[in-house]
Amino acid sequence: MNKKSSAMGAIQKKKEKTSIWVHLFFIIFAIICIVPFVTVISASFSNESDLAMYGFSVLPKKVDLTAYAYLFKNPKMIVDAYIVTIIITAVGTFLGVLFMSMAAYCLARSNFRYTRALTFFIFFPTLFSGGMVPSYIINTQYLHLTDTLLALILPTLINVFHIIMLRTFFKQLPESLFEAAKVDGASEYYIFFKIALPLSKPVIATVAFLGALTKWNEWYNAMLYIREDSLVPLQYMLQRMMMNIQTLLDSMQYAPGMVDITSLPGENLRMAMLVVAIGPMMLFFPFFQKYFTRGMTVGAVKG
Amino acid sequence: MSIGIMSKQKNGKRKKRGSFKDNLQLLSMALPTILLLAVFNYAPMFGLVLAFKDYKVTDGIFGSPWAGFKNFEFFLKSQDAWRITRNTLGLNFLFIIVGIICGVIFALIMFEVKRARQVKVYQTISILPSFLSWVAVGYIVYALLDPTKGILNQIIEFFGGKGISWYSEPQYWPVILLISKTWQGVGLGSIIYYAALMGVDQELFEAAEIDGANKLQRTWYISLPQLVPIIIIMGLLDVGKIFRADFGLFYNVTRNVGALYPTTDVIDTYVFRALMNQGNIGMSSAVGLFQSVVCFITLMVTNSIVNKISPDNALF
Repeated sequence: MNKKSSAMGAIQKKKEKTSIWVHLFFIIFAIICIVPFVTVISASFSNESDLAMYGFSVLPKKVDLTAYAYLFKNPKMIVDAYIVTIIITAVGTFLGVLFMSMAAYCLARSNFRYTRALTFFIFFPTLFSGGMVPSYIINTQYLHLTDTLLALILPTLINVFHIIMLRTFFKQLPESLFEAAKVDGASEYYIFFKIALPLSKPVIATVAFLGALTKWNEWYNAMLYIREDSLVPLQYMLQRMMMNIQTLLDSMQYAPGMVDITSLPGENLRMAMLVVAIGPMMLFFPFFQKYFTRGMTVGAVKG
Repeated sequence: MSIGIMSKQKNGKRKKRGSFKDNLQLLSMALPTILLLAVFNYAPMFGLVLAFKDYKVTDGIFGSPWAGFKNFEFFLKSQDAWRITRNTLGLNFLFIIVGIICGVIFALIMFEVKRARQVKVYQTISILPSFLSWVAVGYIVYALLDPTKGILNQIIEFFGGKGISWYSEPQYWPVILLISKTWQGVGLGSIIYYAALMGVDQELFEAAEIDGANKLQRTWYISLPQLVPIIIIMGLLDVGKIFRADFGLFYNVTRNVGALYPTTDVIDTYVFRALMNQGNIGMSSAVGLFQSVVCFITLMVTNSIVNKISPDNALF
């Protein structure tokens, strides 16, 4: 499909140009996409009294670094959150990709006897789920995951749709490769790690990226299972702060009454926190866009 | 969106059974996945008996005394049942319809961009909001809607109107949630339609052009009909999940403000509050069971419809 479409693109390029209206549409849409980000950044660089007086704006009235000074004067909370997030993203993505690709390989191998049973076992949870309450009871009362990083890693490790993507890819690898290796006496582990995996880099990268994104954005399980401040990941930290700015001020041991009440950081601190929490990711993730788009289209369009 | 998961073995190709040793190795490779699913997906399914129990921490799930249908009665009599079901179904239905329409229009316009480089730039920007968690989207919505500082009220007041206290006026929220959801998801959602358009035979467009069809006619008579199958399938797959609300959206974007519950409280947020705030395990699991069962039925029904239209696209 790719080759064909790029060839078509070459023909089209000669014949027609993109209409100005189309560009206009996307420019307006781009503004709608970007303006909220700019507003958040502007608010983080604003003085709290300016915000109270004039409200949020696309450009700050005057650039003021109070909020960032607060953040970096007592960075423990944000540093902890970054560490937690990086750990759960790295460990979760690595183990997830490893476990899911092994299971997918298993489903893709023609000499595996229990393909149907295993496929059903893996697929059924997408049709029927126990839901939040039983999971919560089991994870807290039986597995004692409260206030452990495992609570943020284990429950979301396996994504059934990613297994299906991996399996579809493994199935397209030439069977003769596996058979030749078998004749040479290779074990299934050897074939998986030395033959199947190296040939599957595109799909592995896609699954790894999608997995990393969900783990980076993890807040749900943290909300259910994390009470300990040092184990809070970034997104949950942001959520707690949205619900209650006092949480943030308390954790920074801010002593009220020391400064003019209007310059007490509030909204600007909140927004600065958001910038520090999502900024690096927003700069970094667009480079992986192709994995995102690939993840959306794999299997759906058999072009 | 993966397709044909339970597809039958290809006919005519006799399956060669591997040795016992090979199968043992393969099974051991699948073991971590099997164990994780068993613990985090299958165990909670059995845990659904909680809906019929009077749960006591000391007795555990299976040791607690039976409560019959008491938990369900409590829920059905609470007047919340109708509200959260209506909100879940109504809002999800709105999201599905608008999501598809916007995604298709977006893809059709994207298809008019003729340079691969420009397509990439526009796609990257339009996907940017999809990288955000709902928590971050909640912040952005807050920056727009905060009654005193928000951009939207500034604009209203600039034109002489009176600012609206958004977080205490539930009637606006279906639209606010719809816009948030569309803003976050349309770029990503359009990709599947765009990919389908890229797969349309170019000769169709050329033939139409020779026959004198203008751009709008080509879009209406060629592009759109080519998209119909994928539109139907995406729609049906979404309808299959209509009883499950996007918890992140409803919890974070509304900031869980009580005044907004009349229009924004959905099954998932209701269950969450019943569990975490009231500690009402019996009722919350009864609602959860109701949701799981209804969800399962709708999925089976929609899948069998997809199976009739286009077996290739059915889930199983």
